[in-house]
Amino acid sequence: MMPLVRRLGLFALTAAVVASALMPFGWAVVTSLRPPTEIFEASWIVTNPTLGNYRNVLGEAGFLTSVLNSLIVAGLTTVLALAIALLSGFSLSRIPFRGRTTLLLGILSVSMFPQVAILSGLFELVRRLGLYNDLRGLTLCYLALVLPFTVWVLRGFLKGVPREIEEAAILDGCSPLKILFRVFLPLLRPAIATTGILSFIAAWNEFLFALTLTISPDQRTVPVTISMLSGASQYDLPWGNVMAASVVVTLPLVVLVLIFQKHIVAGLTSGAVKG
Amino acid sequence: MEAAAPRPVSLARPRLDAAWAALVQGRVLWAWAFVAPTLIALLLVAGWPLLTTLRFSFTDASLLSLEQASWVGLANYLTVLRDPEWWGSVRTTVAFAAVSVGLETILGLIVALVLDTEMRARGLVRAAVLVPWAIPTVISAKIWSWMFNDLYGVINAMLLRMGAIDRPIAWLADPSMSFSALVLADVWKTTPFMALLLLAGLQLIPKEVDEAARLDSGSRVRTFLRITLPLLAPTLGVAVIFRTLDALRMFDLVYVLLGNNRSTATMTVYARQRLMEFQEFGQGSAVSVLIFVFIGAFTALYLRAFRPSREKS
Amino acid sequence: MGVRLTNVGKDFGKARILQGVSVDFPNNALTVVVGPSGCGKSTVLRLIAGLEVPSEGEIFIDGNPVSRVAPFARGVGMVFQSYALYPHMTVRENMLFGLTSLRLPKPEMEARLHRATEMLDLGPYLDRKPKQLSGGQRQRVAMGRAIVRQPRVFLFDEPLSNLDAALRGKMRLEIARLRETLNATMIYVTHDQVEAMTLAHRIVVLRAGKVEQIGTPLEVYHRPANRFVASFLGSPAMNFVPVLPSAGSGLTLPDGGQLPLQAHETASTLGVRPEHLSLGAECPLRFRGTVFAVEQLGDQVLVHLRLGTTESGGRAATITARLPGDAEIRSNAELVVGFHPRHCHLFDGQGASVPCGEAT
Repeated sequence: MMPLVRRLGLFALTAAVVASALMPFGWAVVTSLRPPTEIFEASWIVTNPTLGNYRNVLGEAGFLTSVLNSLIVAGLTTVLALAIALLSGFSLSRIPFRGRTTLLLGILSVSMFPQVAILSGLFELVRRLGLYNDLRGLTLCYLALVLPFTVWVLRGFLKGVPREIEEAAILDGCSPLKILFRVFLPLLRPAIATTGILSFIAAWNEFLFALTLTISPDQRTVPVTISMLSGASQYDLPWGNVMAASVVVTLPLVVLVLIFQKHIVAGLTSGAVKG
Repeated sequence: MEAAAPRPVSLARPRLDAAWAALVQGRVLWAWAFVAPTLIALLLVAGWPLLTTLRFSFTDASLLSLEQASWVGLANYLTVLRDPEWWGSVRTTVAFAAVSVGLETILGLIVALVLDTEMRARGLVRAAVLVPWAIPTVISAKIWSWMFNDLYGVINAMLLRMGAIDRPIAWLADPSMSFSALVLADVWKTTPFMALLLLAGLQLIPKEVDEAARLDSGSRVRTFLRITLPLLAPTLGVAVIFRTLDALRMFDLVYVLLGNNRSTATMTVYARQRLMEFQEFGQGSAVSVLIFVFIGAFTALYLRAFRPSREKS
Repeated sequence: MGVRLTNVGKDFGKARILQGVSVDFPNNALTVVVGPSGCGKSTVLRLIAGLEVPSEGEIFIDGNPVSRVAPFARGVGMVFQSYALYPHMTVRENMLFGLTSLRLPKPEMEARLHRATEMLDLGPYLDRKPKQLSGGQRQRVAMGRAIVRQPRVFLFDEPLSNLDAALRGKMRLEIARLRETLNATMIYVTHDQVEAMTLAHRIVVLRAGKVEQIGTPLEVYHRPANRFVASFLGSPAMNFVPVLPSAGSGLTLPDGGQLPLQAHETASTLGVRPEHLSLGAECPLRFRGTVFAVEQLGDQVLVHLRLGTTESGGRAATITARLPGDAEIRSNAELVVGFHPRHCHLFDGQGASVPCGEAT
């Protein structure tokens, strides 16, 4: 095996990496279990664990509403994006046509837009369509964020399907629509799962648009609600509640990521590295 | 013409070629049809707003009265370009991007090398490393705010206990420390992504090349510098550019961690302040356009560097 | 001197790749480790190189145990199956990379580089990068990279398997020539028995992680220790016919015919190579059968016979005979092929070789 010194060094390094990755979340969990009087203890051991903070947070209607809102928006965005991106991904990966490269670069460049650059324009558009302060309006805007990379990732996966399968389908007389949905789709389940997860997470985490394009508490999404947890000063903040809210929102995501980590890694790196 | 007798092959060829051409032509139409939804969606939700923002930038629109905007030409741009706060935010943004991306690259490389080693708990380590990426930025900002709390935050508590400082540091309130706090929180969040990209790059290096190097060279440092790093360079380049673009556009973290503070604002925060708080819609739009141009220049650089490999695929 | 493995075993997780492997690889000789895919031959090489660590047993290089020694420190040179050239370096830099690690004086390095370049005809390619070279050229660079370091042990991991047939023949001769000039222990791994037979001073036959036989090529060919070795070397493969020792002296064939052959009582399989079967009627031993396929190759003809006459029922044994190309054989004809006792091999129920001789 490796010399002992190297093994210890590697172990120490790995431990340091894991610890620093998990520490903030761990600290949030620890804080969330502390009663208000002990919030300011700077130790990792919770002497009087309590679920009071969680009860507060979950009892608050506003919080649950925003969780629901986030679910709706993220879910809707993901479904729409997947459908639309699947179609485009197919064209862009398997049918050679003039202008394909330009189109691809154009779509890719949208992902480079600073969100702020389209913020005022979106504001005006959403108002004009009467979708201001409306989850549907938000969903529409999220498509701009999510479509570029979903198209890109699905295109990458679609490219990997062997040419022969498609040719066999063409010889069988299938139209491209049929080829995509009858022949390719079953092969693409992992790709769709990956892209779906990435899209869901992106929509769930989005902040700037949600902050700017909604105004009433019943239309807020989770990131906005959490950012608004405030008091008169940073000493007034109900930190226990804030941390409990954070944990509640984060835990499902962490579990999702842990289960699907292989997919996620594949999706994230396929775009960047294969270019 | 009866269809009874089968055609001899030589006569059938021209028909086949024409049929193939029609098939190809048909497929091109399908291709555009499939791309249409994406195209329409993006033109609507990205293209149109961009043009609108551009239009607003030349007007004196205010948040409360968008319709009654009148043309003011380049006045907004001049106001912004003369504003020292704007240049302050540019400095902040660029400094942030440089330091953050630099640290992420180094740390990401270390994490990637660790993940590349064969070890039993590799899956668990990778999962742990993904957690910062999975946490919504806003939430991680809140958690870091809590950790950076000057009186009760755990970071000050640990530093005091270790004797590294003798008085609590006002991480978020003190302008000289808030930059470090921002960078630390950002590096924590984004290093996983960098590490994953670099890991993928490391795994592109053929295993046998690495083994040949082990036989050829006794020094792991030498192997790393002369074999691994040069072969990792293309991936490294792509990753750095990706991350730099992200860093320049960052909004969520700074807004939630440092608040709507004017002295620590990045370009994006400055823009939003002008738009929503000061209600200077015209000016805010001008700032947005400036940011867009700034980032666009960078993007063009990136796409140009990418072009050669695109042609091959 | 040389390399020695004593009772080496290697596990990958639950899989037992090597078991109880004890082999001596003498210095100044080329030993070929041959066997079917998955037999563990590459693992043996990697253990010697230090790229893997044995789960049990010990490896000695020039008398020193090296299981715990890093690859570089073992003084081993290796030619990889995929050549593993450093893609971003020129040929010259590829060869110098390992050399500079040895910290030799510059003139010495230049001299070694020059010698290797001459030996392998790499002069015109020194400033090219691997992607600008053909497969054969890359292979020579891979060898050059190993040669310049003048290692005590030379490892070849199926170096010719990525080349086309014509090139393979040429490179085989190159390696044979190299074999005489290199002053080292050479260990060559392949699944190709032609390479094994032509290049080896000694052959080690490996199957499923165990050593089946060690010997010179001709020893292993003419006196295989068991049925597996007998069937692995030689193309077309040796014929095997199930037999029963009959009372008295002799063997009973499946079609009832008798062979006057002195056989050990445990013999259950008779082996004869296709090239030892002939149409000569004067051979003491004979097979009678029906031709069911004829493959005319020009210089030779392969005749496939079903043993036993057409009337006998059940599944008959089949054999292949290699006859001179001008022999005229018709399909479905009845044919008698003969062979000598000295070309017989007998194997028992477990496949081990048992003695075989002419009946008195």
